[in-house]
Amino acid sequence: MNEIKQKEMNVNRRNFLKLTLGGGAAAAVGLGIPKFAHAEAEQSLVEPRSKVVNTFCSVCGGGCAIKAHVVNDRIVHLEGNPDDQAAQGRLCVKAYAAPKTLYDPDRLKYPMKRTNPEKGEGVDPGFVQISWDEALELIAENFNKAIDEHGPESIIFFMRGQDFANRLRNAIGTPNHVAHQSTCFTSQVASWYAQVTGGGRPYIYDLENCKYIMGFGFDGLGKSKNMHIRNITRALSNNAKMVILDPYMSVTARKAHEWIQIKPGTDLAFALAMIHVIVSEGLHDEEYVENYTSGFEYLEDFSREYTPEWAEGITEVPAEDIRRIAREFATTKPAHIFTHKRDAAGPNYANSTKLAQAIVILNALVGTIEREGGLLLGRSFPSANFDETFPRPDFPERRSDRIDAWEQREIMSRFTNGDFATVADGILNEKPYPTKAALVRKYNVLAFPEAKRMVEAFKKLDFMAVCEIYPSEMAMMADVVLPEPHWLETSGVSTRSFFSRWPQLAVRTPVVDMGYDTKGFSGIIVEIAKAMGLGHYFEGASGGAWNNAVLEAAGTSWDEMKDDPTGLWGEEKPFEPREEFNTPSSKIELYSTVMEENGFDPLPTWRPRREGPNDEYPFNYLINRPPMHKMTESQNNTLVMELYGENNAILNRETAENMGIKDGDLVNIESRVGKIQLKAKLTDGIRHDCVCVFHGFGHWSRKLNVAYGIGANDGDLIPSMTHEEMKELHDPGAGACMTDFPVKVTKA
Amino acid sequence: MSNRNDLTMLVDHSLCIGCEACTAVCKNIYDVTPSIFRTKIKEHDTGQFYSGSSAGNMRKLYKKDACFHCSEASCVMACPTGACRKNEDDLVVIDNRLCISCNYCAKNCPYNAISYDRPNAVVDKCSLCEYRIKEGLEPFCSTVCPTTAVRFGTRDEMMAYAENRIQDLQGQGYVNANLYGATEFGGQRVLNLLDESPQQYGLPVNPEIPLSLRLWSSMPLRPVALLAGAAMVGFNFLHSRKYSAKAEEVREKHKMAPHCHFAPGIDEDDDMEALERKKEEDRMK
Repeated sequence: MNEIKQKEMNVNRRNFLKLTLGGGAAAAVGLGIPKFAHAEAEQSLVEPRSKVVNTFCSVCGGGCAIKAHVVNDRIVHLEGNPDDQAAQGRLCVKAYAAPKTLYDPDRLKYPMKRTNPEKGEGVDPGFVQISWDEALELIAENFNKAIDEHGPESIIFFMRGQDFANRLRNAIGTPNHVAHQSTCFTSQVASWYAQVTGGGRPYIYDLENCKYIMGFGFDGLGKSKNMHIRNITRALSNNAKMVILDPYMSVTARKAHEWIQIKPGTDLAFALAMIHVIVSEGLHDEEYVENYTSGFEYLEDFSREYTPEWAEGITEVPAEDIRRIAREFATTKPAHIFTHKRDAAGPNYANSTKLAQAIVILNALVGTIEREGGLLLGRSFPSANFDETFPRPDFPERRSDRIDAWEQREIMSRFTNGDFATVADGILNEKPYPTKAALVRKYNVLAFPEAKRMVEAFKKLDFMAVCEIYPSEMAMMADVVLPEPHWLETSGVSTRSFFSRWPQLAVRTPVVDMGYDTKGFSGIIVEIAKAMGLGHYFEGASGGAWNNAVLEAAGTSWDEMKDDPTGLWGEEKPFEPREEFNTPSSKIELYSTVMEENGFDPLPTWRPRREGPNDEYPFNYLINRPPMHKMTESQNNTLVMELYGENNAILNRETAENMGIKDGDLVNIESRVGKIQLKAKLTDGIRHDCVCVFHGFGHWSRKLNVAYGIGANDGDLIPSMTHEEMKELHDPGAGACMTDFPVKVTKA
Repeated sequence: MSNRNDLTMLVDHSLCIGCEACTAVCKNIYDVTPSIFRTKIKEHDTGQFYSGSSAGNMRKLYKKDACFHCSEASCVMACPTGACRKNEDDLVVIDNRLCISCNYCAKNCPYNAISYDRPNAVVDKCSLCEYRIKEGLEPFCSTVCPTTAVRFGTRDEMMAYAENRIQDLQGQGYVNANLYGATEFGGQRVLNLLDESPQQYGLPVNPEIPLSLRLWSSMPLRPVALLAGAAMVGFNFLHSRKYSAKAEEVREKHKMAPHCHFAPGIDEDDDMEALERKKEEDRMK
């Protein structure tokens, strides 16, 4: 078959098939008329025939470098860059499915404004297309009006931290930057800040050299992050033992040698009993503890009462199992407890920060922080300084009290931003002042605790501008929608936040251009600033210039890197363990002086969860998500939805059958703040007293043609918090207690 | 360079995490019809569950379901036209020029590895990326698997890997760890390394080709069946035309691009109007 014919078939295989079907029937009865053979079309899909473009993934923060294969201007395949330490030639399912999002016909293609003044769930915004000039003018007008009438603090930014947006926020003079961290990982960050790093929390593991892996509810395999699943499965290949504590049989629990169905919210008691066993039996790594930790002398007294027998009464795990696992953990070297974000030590429970603290202590006792087989702090190039690259005038004075009361979190307010859990209370009750306008980027209102209440909060604002690629529920609340390009259409530079054993940067150039009227986010911010009369804060600033500055700080430049065949910068370096840590004692502080100074408990003293099951609400609520989905972002991806199309109420088979619930029956799940309805999915792989719901479903935007109306939003059940409740919680990790409440389950 | 007839895939199910990366790439790159899969991960529950500390011997297993490319292939024996055949690399492939959509191959596959692609009036199955193998490349699923559960190499390499891994797994307490496919149906080109018994993974033990199929494959009157098949093709052609028109309508309603064949909850036998009604009712709720 010649090449032209091949191409033809590749372009339009299915039509070709239809046309030739008649001929095929003839061939079938032996007339010998050549018929379509779809196998031949597949010949053109082998890699050597395609054009290859370097990019990196932006589905999660991992930033795996990618070789994108393009045939006839269409992406046919994304391949992991073999020279990249994070990707190592492979990608996760979410990245492989990403082109379907790029080509999604539902994507936002041009700026739009709302014509229907009514807002709310299911309300058609009546969007009409407008020009970028009109969109920017509308934003500037409404923001400036809010500033004039109610002060700069009446504007809220909802987004992850980004240099350009941070500068605009400071130039406006509002303290209100609300981000998702308290629902995701602040409990982890607080313990690491206080005990190890004086800064953030690394997520870089060397588990492939680990011999004993433990997890408190961390579904590392089920979250399917490329580097984590590679790490864990390599460890399994190397005969490591894995023990997982989880009320639900997650993917990781399925692959574990032991699955312990711990009672939800009691993991801290298990960890404390492990500390008791290791310290009282002297099983710790003496050399590591002596040289790299401080405060060991407090542990014996502290852990005396936390016997395995004590923990058995709380966790419902037999004392002998706790004792055995503690001994195995301490004597199998190297051993490590891995944890990431939304797990028992993530902000799921009121005692999550303490569990995170206890996990740091346990990992330090066996000497696997910053050591092979354990958790590593990232290695990175010196970073460029935004203010030095783009000098600016002084920022205006601003008030410090915030709409989410984040400034009252003694530790977390220093370096992360904002609280999804308390912002609804702030907006609705005007605490501490009224707010009027918001700039939102790529957050979905479905992802907030008590999403329906958050919709009411957004309705109270006079004006919302939303930057998105999708007509998400947040976009449906907007007055002006600004479309961004998909990451496969953009340029950029990435560090590898989940795997950087040595400094390495990846660059990307646009793989394809869909021809939509979109603008990159940095450009949008500069344009908004100009329209608002704040352009002097952004003299010479652009996304491209910033990318170049980041590369120059690392010793190269955009011009040098943009055509580089590997798309990567940085030489492999051997691992050199750190000898010092960024704490007052320069050691890992088992007894945390930083916690103490800030008025918190220096040791993870037992504390029960906030709100366990009771007579009215007898079930524990668990949240997980399928490996192929990314939060609320992937439900309009046809390929991902074909692989996992609906969320369910996952119930224990025996429990459900006793309630007369069969597989597939509709059930109501109700918490004190909301109610959702889902089909029951019965399994033996969950505790009798739990119901588990996968996150990401329940979309109500009618512009999402695939995602609309499928499943239910787990977040509708999660109580939001008042400013006062959060203060009363007095949690150094300021967690949103995402599953720390009970529910009831009834047949619908 | 090794003989291409010797190249073998091994799926180490102890490392499969059910993420469907292989499925996603296969569907995407070959533009496989919605609800049809050349490869798919299936879950199997096994063992007894009890509440308490450890989980008893309860396990949830992931099994990669795709064609194993048997040496003695039931589907090849069943095919009346020679459309389902062995290619020069001894892989089982479908030549759609000769397929009359009689579906006998699919019905006779003991592993349900062949799907009837009704909209296109063909059968679809994994070819082990035959054209990549011809070019000296690995099949996509082994190059993309993020946990390297799917492996590819010479038969000797795969057998050696299996031997070591089974020993390791048995040492870890997976006493039933075994290799499936080394001898089944004369040996298969896709070997399945299992950490529980084949039954628990839903695989037939010591499978044999039924006598009826052997008789059929040596039957002299297959041309008669061929004619019957031709009649079926005619029917199918008409039917699939009707289906295509309906599918086009649905795409239009859902504002889907021509490349986007999948609509939620729609499969080939659904009454499209009923589905629309149901969606509307859901909206009203």
